[in-house]
Formats: sequence, C-alpha cells, structure tokens
Amino acid sequence: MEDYHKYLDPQTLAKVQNLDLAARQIVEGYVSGSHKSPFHGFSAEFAQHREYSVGDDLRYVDWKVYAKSDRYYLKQYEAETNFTCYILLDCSESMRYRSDNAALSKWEYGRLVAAALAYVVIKQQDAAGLCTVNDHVVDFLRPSSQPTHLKQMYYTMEHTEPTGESGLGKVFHELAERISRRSLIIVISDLFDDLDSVMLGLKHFRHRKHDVSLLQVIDPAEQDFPFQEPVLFKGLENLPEQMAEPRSLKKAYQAEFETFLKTVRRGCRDLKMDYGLVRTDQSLDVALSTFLSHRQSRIGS
Amino acid sequence: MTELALHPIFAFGFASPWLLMGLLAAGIPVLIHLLHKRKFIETEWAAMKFLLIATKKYSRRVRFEQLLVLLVRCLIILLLAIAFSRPYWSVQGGFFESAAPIHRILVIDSSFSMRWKGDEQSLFEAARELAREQVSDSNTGDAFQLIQISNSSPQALISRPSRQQAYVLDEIKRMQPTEEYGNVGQALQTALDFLGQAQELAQKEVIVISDFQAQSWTPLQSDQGSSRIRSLMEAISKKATLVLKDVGQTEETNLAVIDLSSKSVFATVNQPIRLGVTLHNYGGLNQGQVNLQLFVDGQLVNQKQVDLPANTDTQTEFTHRFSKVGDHRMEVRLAEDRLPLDNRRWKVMPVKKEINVLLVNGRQSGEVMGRATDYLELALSPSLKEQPWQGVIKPHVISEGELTNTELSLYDAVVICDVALFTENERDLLKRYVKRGGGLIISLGEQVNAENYNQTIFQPDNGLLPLKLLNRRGDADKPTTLFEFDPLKYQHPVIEIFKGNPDAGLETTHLYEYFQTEILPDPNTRLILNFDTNDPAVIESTLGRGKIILITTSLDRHWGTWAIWPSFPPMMNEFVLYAATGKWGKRESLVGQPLEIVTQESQRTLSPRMITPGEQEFPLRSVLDKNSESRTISFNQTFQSGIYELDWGTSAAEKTLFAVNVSPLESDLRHIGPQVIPPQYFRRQASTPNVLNEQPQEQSSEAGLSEIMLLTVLALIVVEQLLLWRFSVGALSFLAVMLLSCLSLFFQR
Repeated sequence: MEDYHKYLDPQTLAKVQNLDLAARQIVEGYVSGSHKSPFHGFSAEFAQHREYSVGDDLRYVDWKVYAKSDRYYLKQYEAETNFTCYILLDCSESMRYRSDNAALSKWEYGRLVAAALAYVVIKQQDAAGLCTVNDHVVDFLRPSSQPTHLKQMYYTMEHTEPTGESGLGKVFHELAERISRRSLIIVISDLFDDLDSVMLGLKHFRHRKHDVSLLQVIDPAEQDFPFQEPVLFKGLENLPEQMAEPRSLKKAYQAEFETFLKTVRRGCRDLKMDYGLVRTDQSLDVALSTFLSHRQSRIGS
Repeated sequence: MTELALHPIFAFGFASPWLLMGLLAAGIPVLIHLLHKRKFIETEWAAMKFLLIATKKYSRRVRFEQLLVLLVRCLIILLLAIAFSRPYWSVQGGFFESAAPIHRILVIDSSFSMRWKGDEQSLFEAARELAREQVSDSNTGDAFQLIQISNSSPQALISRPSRQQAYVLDEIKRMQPTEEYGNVGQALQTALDFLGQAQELAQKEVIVISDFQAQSWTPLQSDQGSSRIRSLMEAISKKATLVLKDVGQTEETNLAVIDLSSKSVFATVNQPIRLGVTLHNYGGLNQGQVNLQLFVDGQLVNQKQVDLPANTDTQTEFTHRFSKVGDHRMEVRLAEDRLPLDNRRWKVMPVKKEINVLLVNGRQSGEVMGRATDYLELALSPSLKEQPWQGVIKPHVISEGELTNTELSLYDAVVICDVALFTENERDLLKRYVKRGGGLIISLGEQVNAENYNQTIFQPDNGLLPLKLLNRRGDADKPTTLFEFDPLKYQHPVIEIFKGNPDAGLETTHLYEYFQTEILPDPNTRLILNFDTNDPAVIESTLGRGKIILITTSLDRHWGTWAIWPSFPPMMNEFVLYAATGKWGKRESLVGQPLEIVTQESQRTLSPRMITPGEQEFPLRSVLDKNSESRTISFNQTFQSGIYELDWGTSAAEKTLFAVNVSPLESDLRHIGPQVIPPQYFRRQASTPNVLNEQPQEQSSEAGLSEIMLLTVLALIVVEQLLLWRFSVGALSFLAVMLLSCLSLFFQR
C-alpha cells in the first residue's frame, strides 16, 4: 500500500512523462488502496426488467429469468450507458504557474487529475469527454467510452500549452448550450477569473440539470505567500507588474485570497455543486478522495 | 561682595561629545532600507488580481508602517549615541534644572592681603566660605581642582581632578592664608595647564576668588606682567567659563612698615647704632600720631608717635645701644590696623665684641714706627699703656713669612702691608679665605714687586683682583709732585662718613707716590677713591662672599703724609669693618625667598636645625653636606615672617638669628575692581556685577538624562518587535513610550 502511495506523490508523478502511465498509476494506486471503486454505483444499479425486443444487446438478457420462465427479459440499470462525463480543463495562462516548492504546475496537476478521472470513467465503460478552455474553447473531444478515446484525450492534454486569458464564464455559457445531454461536468481550474461570470456560467450548467463538480487547483505559494525578499511580480494573463514588499503585504494578500476561496465555496454550496480545493503540493489521492468521497456521499444519499 | 559671573540662560551640551559620532550610525537603517529596496527577485504570478487589490488597499498603510518602523530603528540608534555622549542641559534658576558634570578649577587667593580683617571675618575666610559653597552646591560627577594664588608655596593644592566632594572640602578647610605676595600670573598659568586635564568633561569653569588687589592683578608698573595676566585670562576664557568672585573691599586704608635697616651689618657693644624705619600709609587719609614701637629681644625699648601723610613714604629713625654681644632680635611695630601682618618688621643685629684683624707686615724695621704695619695698627687700636683702648677692632701683626702658618679663618679681615712677593701657595690660601667671606685689604709700597703681583694675585684667571699693576707714579724721595684724593662724590658707603665733613681731611691728604693700575672690566669691581690724576686710589672687589680692597699707595709715612693725617684712622676703621662684613652673610630675606646660612669650618660636623617663628624645626644636616665646598646652606622654608633661629646643636655655639619679612607689594590694598578687567575676557556676557542677595542656585545634572535615554532605547527595541508583530499594538506602545520618556524628562530635576 505504501508502495502505491508513493506513485500518487506529485514529486514522483512529475517524473512520469507519459500521461497514460501516470493516470493508470494514480487510479490503480488509489483503487488498490480503497478496495472499492467510487464509480461502482454509477451504472450498476438494477432498475427493472423489460421484455426483449429485436435489436437489443444480448449482453443484458437475464438468463436466469429465461431459465425459469422461458422468456427473454432484459436487465435495465439506472443511468447505465447513458452516463457521460465532461472534463472541462482550464488551460489559461494562469494555470502555467508553478512556485519553486511545487513539483508540478497547476496545469500539469490538473491535467493529471483529468487523466486519472478519464481513465476511471472509461474503464467503467462510460463515456468521457474533454474540453480545454481559456477564454474560448480550445479543444473539444466528444464523450466516448472507447479505450482509444482515452488515448485521444491524453494526446490532446499532452499537446496543449496553457496560454491566453481565461474567460470561463463566457465559455461555460457556450458549453451549457452545446452539451444537451445531462452529464457529469467536472471543472478543473484555478478560477482566477471574474468570479461572478464564472458562477453565472456554472449556474447555467446547473440550470441545464447537469451534475457539476468543481475542482479548484491552486499553487501552495498562492495560498501561503511565502516570499521574504522584495519581489517584482509579473502578472500572467496580461496583468501588470507589481513591486511588492511581501512581508508587509502578506497579511493583506492572504486575506484577499481567503475571501476569494470563501466566495467560491459559498457559490458552489448555493448551486449545490461538488467543490474540492487541491493544492499542487498535495498527494493526488488526497485530491481525488476529497473530490470523490464528496461525490460518493452525495450520490449515496 | 562683588561677583562677576557669567550665567548662561540655557545650556545644553555633551560631556563626551566625540561619542556623538555614533549619530552617524543612525544612517544605517536608512541605508539598509534603501539597499533593501534595490535588491529584489522577480517571479511570474498568477494570482495577480489579489495582489493588486491588496497592494492598492494596503500600500498607504504599509508605507506608514514601514516609515514608523524605520523611525523607531533610527531613534534607537540616535538615542543610544546621544545617551553615550552623556548629554546635559542646564537652565539657570529655571524650570528645568539639569546639567553635565563640570570640571571646576577653584583659584583662591591666599596672598597675605587676604588676611585683611573685616567686621566678622577676614577676606580669606570669606573666600574660603565661597569656595566651600561652590563645592557643596555642585553635582555629583563634578570634578574639582584647587589652586592658591601664592608665590613660593605650592600653588596646585589638588592637581588631579577630584570628584570627591568631601576631599575637596577638606582641602579647602585646611587652606591657610600665606604671608607671601600673590603671583597671579603663575596661578593663572597653572589653571590654564589644568584645563587640559579631565578631557571627558566638556564643560569647564575657572572660578577665581580674590580681593583683586591692584598690585598683583594689574602690575601697572610693569606692562609685561599686566599683559601676561590679560593674555592668560583671555586664554582661559576661550577654553572655559571664567568666573571672578571678588571678596575685596574698596577704599581701604592700610599702614605698613616697609623697611627697617641700618647702615652697618653688625653693631658693637655700647656703640649707638641708627635704625632707619620706612613707613607707608596706603590710603587716602592722613594718619596723625600713630604709635611706633621698637622692640629689642622682645622688650619694648623705644617708641614714638609719627604722622603718616596719605600715600607717601615716611622716614623715621631709632637709635639703640647694645650692651650684650650676640645676635639681637629687633622689631618695629606700628599700631595695629585691619591687616596687622605688615605692621611689624624684623631685623637681626649681630653685636660683636671684637673684630680680629690680621696685619701682615712686609717690611721689618728696628726703628720706631718703622714697620709697614705700625701706623695701621695704631690707627685701628690706638692703645696707650695708661688707658687701654676699648675699641672693637683687635689687630694682630705677623710677618710675611708667617702667613702660610696662620689659621686665617680666625680673623675677620686680613691687611697686607708692603709685602714684596707672593707665592702661589699664599695666593691660593688668601683666595680660599676671601671666597669664604673673609675681608682682604692689600696696600702697596716700596718693596712691592709689580711683576710678581701681576703673576700671582692679579693674574687674570686665578688671581684675586682683575687688574694689572703698571708703573709707579711720583717720587717719594723727591716729593715735588703732590697727589690728593678724589672722593668720586662720596658714592661709596665706606667713605660716606666724610661727606660734608671737610675737617676729616680726606680731600687734603697728600701723597707722593702710588702705583698706576689698569682695571680690567669686571662687574664685581668698583672704585672707592681716585687720585686727582684720575688714577684709581682705592678699588673694591668681591670674590665669593668676601671683599677685597686694594689701596694703590702705602699705609705708612714713606709714600705720603696720609698715615699721620686725620683722615687715616677713620678711613682704616671703615675699610676694615667694611671688608669684615662678608663673614656674617645676609641675615634677612623676604617670605618665600631663601635664607643664606654661612658656616664655619668648626661647624661642619654639627647638626644644625632651623626653628621657624611657628616653632617648626627643620634639620639642615643633609643640606650642609651637599654644599660643603661653598659652606653655604640655603634654607627655603621661609613661609612665615619673623625671626628664624638656627640652633647649631651645641651649647658652645650661640644660636644664629635670621629675619624674614613680608613683601611690601601686598600692603597696597588698592582694589583693581571689575571695571579694569574688560568683560570681553569672559566667554559670555557678564551678569550684574553686584549680586548681594540670593541668587538662584544653578543646578545641573546629567546622570538622569542618559538613563532616561537608555531606558527609552530598551523600550523602543520592544516597540520595534511589537510593530512587526502587530502594528496597532506596536504603534500604541510607541506612543506610550514616547509620552513616558517626555514626562520623565520633564520631571527629572
């Protein structure tokens, strides 16, 4: 178990170039640690029987019932193969940030999480789609449950550079219109954007009855503000430079940042969305379990 | 009482100003601050939005906080530097009273004019009281040095700055007025030298307490002394605050005996001796019928009433006849006034029974009155068989061959008469004798070998007299040319008795022959008599302590009629007595000046001691050993006026007496007053010169100031930490600390 855990450490994962391998590593490490897949209840819930009609998939024929009654019945499950999952991955420039103490940038970390989730979902025969966004939709992969699709997703993520300003609110509206089918939408972003418009976008998803989960990825330096010496901060996403005396500014900054996190958390609660906050120095399983255990408890309820 | 003082209204300074260099260190936080700003790291930043908001919101406050922290840090260093420099302030009689320790040099006049008695106390007591007040009112930390204005007594009483009040007070208490005159220039010079000490005390004060007697303070007679005192005062006032405290009285009268003298150094039994007394009335009013008394050996023997006109010398005389042999104490006493010390004057008069004179005869003769010394012997001791001579001079005749075998020290004078030759041995013998105070009279004559004389006793380097015998002039065998004496206006004291006395026949003395001489220039040689040909007749010179008289003609009838002329006996007596005075030495001196004691060969083994008028004893043994060659002892401890007794330590020898008198310089009490000392000698403007009523005491302190600053520094260090930890708490505590230190400065007195 210990051995597996080490594969979830961002320091270790940073060395793994292959996203496929990394995702597998994460999931297997995670699953073997918990014995029970958190995705188990997704599509295995038995709902009812219905009579077989021509064209139905023979896989779902209940052979036990046929043996007793000599009739063909099919087992039907809740949300069975209709389950689709969209992973919205923020690839704006701000995601590029990596502090000195962190092994992975927010982008790399978020990408790993996305890859792991996609792996889990597709492993369960469900469809997973990927959408990388900044102020527009950069890549959009339609959901599919084909294993080759997973490769496609990995390839896309590996070949995307985090650039451009973020304009999540607008993009969310656009996607909400675009995704017609009820889906699980997992947003992975630092949310360094106009929070009101982002929340409106998320609200739009909720309005469309989507199940939205928000995974906010931040760098530890962004929360701890560990600087001592005077620093010239060069803003990403076309924000201006700022010379600052960190020791005196730390408290003010941290207050601002905490307010921001608090607003996000409150917004998610209001919209009844899952919300998880991960720091890039946290182990991947912590990130996943925070996120997934929330989910599980909510679904289970 | 007059006070010339300079009181600053407000004074602020530093006891250790060089430590203020530490103030430069206050620039260090500023420098660090500036350097700090320049050095920075660059980084990309995603959460810029929050940073910008935070910066915008807090930048003003941050800047304020930074400035306050910087201020506190600078304050810490500034206060530390100031505290180490030991700051002080001083407000005279004012609200705040605080100052740094002061280096005070007290200069107290202890010259004898300070003995002037006022109604309650003497000037010196008043001065001492003032000095004591100065010391008692001082603050802890003040350093004192003490100087007295005296002459020969040690002037520096406390020569190292002392911070112990008790010690300084004790020294002041032990001070006594001297009987010396005040050497102001020397005392001021000492004060100036002392100012170089105690460098750590920046504030210096020289307090001069004196009666400001004109004679000592502005010796107007000598411009040099006056300008020296002025330049010294100027130099002092440049380095320190000069405070003059005048205890002198103006318009004082003072009577003084300024001289007591007699013409002869010694007296003889039953011979009347005249004493001249010079009195002076220092004052603007004539004094009539002042009692003047003469004491001999402590007994009142004579007195008279004298009138003393204002500001002039008055001469008067006493005549006294001594009946006993030995040293006698003589004292004149003027009626007492407020300064009694100078109303008495002492003199020692040695009274001899006989004066032993050795006559060396150079010409033997079987005839009556044929020897070269016969007329002289008769002139000195005209003894007849029926009526023995009672005179004091006892002549003893020897032949020239006996000279080397005679103990010369037994004789007061030696007269050489017509001796043909001198050996070098004889020359040395005579020379030694003269050097030790013996009197030598050389007369010439028929037998004299001029060449031998010039080679022995008149030899320029080793001889007795610096002259040269030339040819003889005139011819005694054929007395065609007569020579007479020219008394040279009777300037020499030896022939003064002939002045206005033509019957004595000095100028009518006839001489037939004499030796011409060439006198070599020498400060110790002078003429007593000339011939009318302008050639020297009688020449006087001194050698060592003794006197030599050369008579260029003979003392018998061969070369003239002088030996039978009326002028001969008195002149010979005068010459012998005059030559013999060297044996006694000077028996008087002024206070502070040394006494010269002449010792005899027989006294060399004794252990003499000097007894002062104050009954103090000083053994002289060691001094005697050192100066055995000259046989003179110098006695320097003449700090008191009066009669000094020299006890030879044996009953055989009588005590030798010495008189020591005060200098008449101090008797003149005329006051120089503050108006003569120009105010520019002071560093600051003088305050009112007459301050009789209470003056606000100047108080000062510095210890508290440094302590408060150091405590503030400590508090500020804590405040700095508080500011960094929680600004609001730090700011509040900063205000509290500042308030507290201001309050404690305010209340610190």
